[in-house]
Amino acid sequence: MNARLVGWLMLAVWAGWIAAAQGLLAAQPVFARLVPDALLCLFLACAARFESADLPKVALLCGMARVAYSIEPPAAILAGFLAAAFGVRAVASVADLDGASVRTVLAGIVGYGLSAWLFVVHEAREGATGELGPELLAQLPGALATAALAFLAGPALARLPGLTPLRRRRW
Amino acid sequence: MGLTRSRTLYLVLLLGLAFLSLRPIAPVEYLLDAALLPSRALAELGAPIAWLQSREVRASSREQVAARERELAASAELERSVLASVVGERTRAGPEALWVHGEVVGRDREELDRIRVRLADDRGAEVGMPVVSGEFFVGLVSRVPGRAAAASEPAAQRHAREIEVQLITGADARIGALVVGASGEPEAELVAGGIAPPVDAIYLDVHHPSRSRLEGGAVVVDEPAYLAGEHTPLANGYLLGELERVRVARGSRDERTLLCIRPGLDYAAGLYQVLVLVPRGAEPPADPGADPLAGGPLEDPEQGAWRGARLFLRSELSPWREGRKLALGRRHGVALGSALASGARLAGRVTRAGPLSSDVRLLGDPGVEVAALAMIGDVPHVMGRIVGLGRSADGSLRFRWEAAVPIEAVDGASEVPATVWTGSGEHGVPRGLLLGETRLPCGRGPHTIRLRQPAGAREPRDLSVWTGPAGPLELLAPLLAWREPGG
Repeated sequence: MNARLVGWLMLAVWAGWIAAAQGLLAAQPVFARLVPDALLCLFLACAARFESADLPKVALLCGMARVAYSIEPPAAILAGFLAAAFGVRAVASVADLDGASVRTVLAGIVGYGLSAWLFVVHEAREGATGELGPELLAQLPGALATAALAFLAGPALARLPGLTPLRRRRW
Repeated sequence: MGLTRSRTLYLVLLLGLAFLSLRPIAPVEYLLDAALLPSRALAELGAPIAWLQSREVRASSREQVAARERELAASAELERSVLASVVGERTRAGPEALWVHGEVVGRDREELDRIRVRLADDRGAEVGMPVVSGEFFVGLVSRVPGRAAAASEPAAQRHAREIEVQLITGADARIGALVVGASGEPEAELVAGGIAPPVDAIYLDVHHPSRSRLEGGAVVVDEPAYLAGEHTPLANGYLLGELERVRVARGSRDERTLLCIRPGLDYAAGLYQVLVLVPRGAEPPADPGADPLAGGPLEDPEQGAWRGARLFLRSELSPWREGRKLALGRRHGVALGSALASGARLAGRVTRAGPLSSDVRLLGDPGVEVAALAMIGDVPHVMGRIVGLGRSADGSLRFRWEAAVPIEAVDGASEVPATVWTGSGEHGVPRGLLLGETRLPCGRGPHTIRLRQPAGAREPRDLSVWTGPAGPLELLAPLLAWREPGG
């Protein structure tokens, strides 16, 4: 079997497991607001190590893994991941995504942007159910947790077993 | 960055998805669901992680089993109280009419002022017969479909038990009425019907009052026999509501008052159980006026059934959301709005039904809506629709309640303890499912109420989902049912 195809399948498996595992944490009231978006960290780690042409595919695959477990509208989740891919690609043209500071800041910003986007979509579809300001502020701890996870585990996520065929070769 | 063809396509896809997120278009979402079918396989991949979670879940304790049995018994008791309460004193005492019991099962999609009512027994129901609920007038029977075909074809029989009722809120609905003052004497005549021009709540419109200087009083139906349809006078004496002068602000300097009727029923969301008045001497119902439960509850197994359900793992990162994926979809008969229940408790409602899986909003999710009924002691009170505002820090559920029909304060109490259940009239949600306990504020709304759920309700188990018929057409339902927003 094509090694890259196996790599994509393995990425799908890891994305599915990570999405499920972060759900376990989110279900605990203690961690409720501090659960990092590990799926987003996986996406950013792959963005740093994979060919840039593969970035939209990684975004779609991670988006599908989120769609599999989330009740947020699939269109909103996919739009969020594709927008993140667009932004990450732009940043990659001027900075090294593998650098600790860049990946940490980027994870925080993209994590916050994604959760804020999903909140805005919910409000737009349902009519305002809460106060926008406080709710958007409430997303900050989660974004900080995502940044922390990207700082600590970013490189390891890109080295998960089975992803080698997809990683960019370095000379 | 220059715009290559692939980048342009990428941007178009991104903007299209963003637009679809904010302005959902059902057929496009349906196609997206189909394209994302492989994601269900990813959900199944989480099974090993679900096993880890299941170790933490203990078997149901004896207390929980006993509590569930108590809830089922209370649900049956609620059924009796609700069905009994719909027969008002006037109906029991009325010498002219018998009645046929009916449950509101939905509304006409084209016209919200028409409701669909499933009758316990449709023999005797005819177009033009009055429909009442308790002491209040609801409207007139506008359609009794398919009676000829009923006997020969089971499918038609099912629909033959459903009639259509034109509410008094309809734009062209009119009925004669009397204003009765505090002394009990008639003070004026008027014609009532339709919705009054925009004010802060739903009021019935007043036409051609015989006196202009009216300030208040009870409004009762009084349709003269020479003007009325054959059966309409059977509704004479039933209440429409209270006459009020309502301020209508039209800019800061232009303010006027309008004579309106504050209805005694919540016509928008609070019609659950009704009676069709049948003249004595007409073809009688099977056992008119008897215990409506005598022939069994109005459930029709062909309308839907409970089906065992399994949820995928929770993976909602947003702490303010409470939703789960259900491992059943339209292929299995799950439809938008279907109830998810755990025993006699309502756990949530389906908010999106995909081909093979569905999204369920649990009761703690902001925006979840349900038609509710409160039991205050042993007296039912129709609450109408309540809308979820999310879960409080103390774990209770917050709901917005418009209180279109407020609870009257007794002995100066500002709140009354109540148990809240599901009402009728919403597709896919059977009546009599427990939501929780609360203290309901008295007086006009809107109010924010806090519901305390029974123990263990936050992580529901032994789940069932309400399913309708499953088949190829149900799979295409979103495409067939879609129409332009506002159309």
